[in-house]
Parts: sequence; structure tokens; C-alpha cells
Amino acid sequence: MNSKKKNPIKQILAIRGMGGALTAFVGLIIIYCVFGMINHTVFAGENVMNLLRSMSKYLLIGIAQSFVLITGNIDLSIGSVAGMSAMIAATLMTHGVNPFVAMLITLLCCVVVGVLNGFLVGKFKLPPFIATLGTMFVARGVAYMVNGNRNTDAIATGIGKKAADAFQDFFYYGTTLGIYNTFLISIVLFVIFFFLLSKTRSGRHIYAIGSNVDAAKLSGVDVVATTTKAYLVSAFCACVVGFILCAQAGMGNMEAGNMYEMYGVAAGVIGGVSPLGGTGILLGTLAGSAVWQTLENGLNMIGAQVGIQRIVIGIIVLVTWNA
Amino acid sequence: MRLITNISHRLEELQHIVDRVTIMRDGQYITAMNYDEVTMDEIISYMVGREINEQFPRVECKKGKKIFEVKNLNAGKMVRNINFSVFEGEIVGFAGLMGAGRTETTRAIFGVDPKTSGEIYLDGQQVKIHCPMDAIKAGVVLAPEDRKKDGLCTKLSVRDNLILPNLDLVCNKLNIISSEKERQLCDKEIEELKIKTPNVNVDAGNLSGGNQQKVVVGKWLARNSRVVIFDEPTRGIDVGAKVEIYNLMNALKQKGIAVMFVSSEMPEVMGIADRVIVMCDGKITGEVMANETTQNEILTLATNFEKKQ
Repeated sequence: MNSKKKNPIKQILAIRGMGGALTAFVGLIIIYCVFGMINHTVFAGENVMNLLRSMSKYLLIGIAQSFVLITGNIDLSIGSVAGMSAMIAATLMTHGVNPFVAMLITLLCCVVVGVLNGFLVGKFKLPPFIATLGTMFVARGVAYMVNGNRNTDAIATGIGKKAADAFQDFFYYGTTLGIYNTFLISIVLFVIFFFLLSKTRSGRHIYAIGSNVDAAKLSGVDVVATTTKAYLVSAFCACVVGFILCAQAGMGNMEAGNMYEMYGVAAGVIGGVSPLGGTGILLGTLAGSAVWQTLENGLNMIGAQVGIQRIVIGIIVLVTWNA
Repeated sequence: MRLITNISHRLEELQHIVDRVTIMRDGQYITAMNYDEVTMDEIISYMVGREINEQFPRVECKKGKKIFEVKNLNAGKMVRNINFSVFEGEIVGFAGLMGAGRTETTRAIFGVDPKTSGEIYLDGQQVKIHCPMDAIKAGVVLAPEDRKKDGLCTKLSVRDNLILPNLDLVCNKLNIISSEKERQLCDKEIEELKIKTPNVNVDAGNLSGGNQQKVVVGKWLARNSRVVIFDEPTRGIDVGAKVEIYNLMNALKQKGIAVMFVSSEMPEVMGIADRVIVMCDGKITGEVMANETTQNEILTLATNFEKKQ
């Protein structure tokens, strides 16, 4: 058995979860071309840039959810954590706190939710659906309370226009080499987490507990620590999504990130990440979030209503699950 | 008139039921004959595709120093005051009825289930085992009983299963996996254990029972363990694979590794183990030398229940 002589294409196809990811990529290309033929502006450079930026949030939330789905759990709290992140960061900045300090404090708050989720599910064995449903409400409650049950003012009122512009450019409006920063941030995080999941010890542990938690435990995997790590990644990504939402609006919105946890599930599932645990790769999540945003974007371009868009997404999720 | 097809690998039961046998191997028809015209050995050699010289190949070793000792182990109702030792160059069998507390004992030793009391000594040194990772680090490993439930991540590949407990051996200081080391370790295990798999990326759950069991056992062999505990390692696998597992236990014994062998099959425990510890109702009820005992003696010990007041 000399695996060095193997065909590289075969080796790529042999990577577990690659099938689902490639299917989603093929679907993506077909969808994109179909919409492009109906309406040529879909192919326009500006539209492509917008498309990449709008999919970034869903990619990040998809990575967040995928990590947890692969462990065989679910994280319903990420949408609320994103909202909480946007509100805490914005509230601090409207009070004149330096953006870096504000982001650091926000990140700490999100990490607390991640650790809490990990302990509730890993240590205290609460069903993940219940545990994260609880933290979902708590995090949303915090998002409401930080600024006294109302949205924040523009962040520029606290930290000044210059700092506010810098913050908003970094996360949303600015470009580097002609590409929106939002997309670059999400791709950098994607690469880091892709590596983490496929090439490190913790990554393997995440797959193992998702496939068979008892067998993983008997192979020396620390289930509590691994579950917590997955929820931490999830909370971290949700936190970054919160920053993006805050930068986009230039203020904190109490409803920011609403329903995002389910968008995360959809992005993962379309890309072949199974909510039953143990299968799927982040490349699939990337493809899944792209499929979704291309659909939304394309349907928008050909003038379909939001209702139609949602129905199409729903059907796509059902079809990919059965495929 | 009715035709009844009985699909089985329990050769003992055939004599009571069947008139004709058809033998298949690796998805192919091999042969068919009237049952009273063949011997058990012939059936086995057709099933395995080669002669099996001995159903229970025993290797004699000189008994050396004490390697492993368990003192006053208690864990719940099924593990009560367990004391035993394992010496270099011997396989210690654990016989008993289902529910005698043997599996619970192995789980308590390995740190899966909490112990209420007890001490474990390895090469004369006391070791503290609170979780499986402690046991693995100390050099005590367990190939569990129920491979689908406890032994394998069936949705993961053969490679991932073989590597899972050995990630520390293939990772660098930053816990990043070296693909090269991973491949080497994996190829070595597959070769040593003759695991039949199209490639290492196949789902472990798609292998045959015997090959799945080899993965369960094989993942521990890359480590320099001192004690290997096998819990019902031959349940539900074919005769050829059984002999391979026995040979593996013998090889470990020859290397001076302490082997504990839990089995409910009386003939194999007597045929492979050197010493047999019999358990009943969570307690050790006796200890016999395999070559001096009878099935009856073991059964008497295995049913030695405490008199209920």
C-alpha cells in the first residue's frame, strides 16, 4: 500500500465530508450561472463584492454552528450572542470607551456565554437544545438591558466620527485590495478554524464526541473540555458577527442577530454538516453560506419577494438533507 | 413442508438445528454439504479459507514479576472488594455469568466509572486513575465490550479511530497533527493486525465485525502499555478473527505485558488464559489455574451467590 503514488484528485475526494461540500459548490455554480443568465448584473463586479460581503456574516455564523453541530450538539444562543455583542460594544463606544477596549470587554462577555453553554451541556448533561435555549433568552435579555431597553445612539456620538469611521470601515465599509474587509475577516477566520478542525488534536476530539461520545471517552477524550471548546469557538464567531452588525448599523440594535442561529444551521446543513454529529467539514459550510447568499442575491435581482426567497431556502435545506 | 434458513456463526448451535450447511466467505459462495458428512474443523477451515490448527493456540511463558495489582476496589453494587494481581507472562481470565460485575470492574479500573475506594499498583508504584486519560497515560488500556456502543466511532474512518487515543504520538508540541506520522502509525497497525479494509478512509462502521474488533483492539497497540484489558474481545466475530485476537493476546503476553481477558465463553477462557478469576454478583468467588480446572468448577464458582437472608 503506497499512498504516495495515489492520484491527488482521489485523495481530495477521500477526505471525509468532501462529498457534501463539493455537491454544494457544484450547486453554487449552477445557481449562480442560472441567475446570471437571467440577469447579467449578477455577474457584475460590484454585485459580486456585495455578495461576498453579505455572505460573510452567514459564513461566520455557519462556522459557529458547524463546530457545535459536529460535536452532535446545537447552539441556539449564537444569534442572541451576536445581538448581545453588538449592543455591548455599541453601548460602550457611545460612552466613549476606546473601540479596542470595548471589543475586548464584549469578547469576554461572549466567552462567558460559551463557557456556560459548554458546562451546561458537557458537565451537567443538559440536552443542548434546552441549555442553549436558556442561554439564548438570557443573552437576548442582556442585549436589551445593556442600554436600558432601547437601541443605542450612533457610536460616533461617544468615540467621535474618526474612530467610529475607522471601526465601521474595518468591519464593514472599508476595502483592502478591492475586497470588502468583512469578507477578508471571515475568510481569515475560516482558514484558522478549518485548520483547527482538520489538523489539530482538539479538532479530532470534536469529531470523535460527535460520532460516539462513549467511545470517545473510552479513548481518553475529555468530553467536557471538548464540548466547551466547540461552544467557545461558536461564541467567538458570534461575537465577531456582532461587531460586523454594529459596524454596519453604526449603532447597537437590540434585535441584531435575530434568528441567526438557524441561519447557521442552514448554512451548515446545505454544505453537508450533519446535525447528528461527527460528519461535515467547514469547506461545506463555506459552500452552504455561499449557496444561500447567491440564492437570496439572485432572487433579489430578478425581483422575487422576500417570502419567495425564504420558501426557496427552506426547500433547498430539505432537498440537501435528503440528497 | 417448510424450508428454514438459519444464518449463524455460532458453530455449537448448528448440531442441534441444521441438516445442510452452506458456507459463504467474503461475499462469495464457498460450498454446501450435509451437516452429518462434515466435521467442525472442516466447516471452520472453509469459513476461514485456511486450516486453523488450533482453535485455542496457547503459548507457554515463564511467569515473571508482578506487574499489576488491584487492592480493595469498590465501585457501586457490581464491584465489591476486588483484589487481584497480574504477573508478567500470563493472561488472567475473568469468567462469570452475565452481570457478574466483570465489565463494571474493568470500567472502574480504567477510570470510566467512579471508584468508591481501592488502590491500583503498576510495577509496584501506586497509580491514581480518575479518568480514562489517567489510565492511558499510566499504561493501562481497555478494549471495551460493546464495540458499537463503546469501542468505535462508527461514523469516523478507520484511520480516525486508530489514531484517536494516539493523537499525542502524532502531534507536535502545538497539538498539530503530522499527516506523515499519522499515516505511518495507521499503516503499521493495519498491517500488524491484518485489518481488512479497502482503505483507511472507510467508515469504521462498514467493516465486518471481526475487522471492527481489530480496530478496537488495534488502537491501543501503538502505545507501550503495561496492562491491556480485553472485555469480550471475540463476541460476534468469526472463528478466524477469534484466533487472530488470541494470537495477539499471546504476543502481548510474550512481550511481558499484563493481559486481562474477560470472557463469558467458558472454552476460550480455559483455552487461552493461564489463570482464571471467577466473579459472581460483583465479588471474586474463586481463582483457578486454567489447566487444572473444569467447566463445572468454574460454573460452581460463577453461581456462588450469597445466601439471601
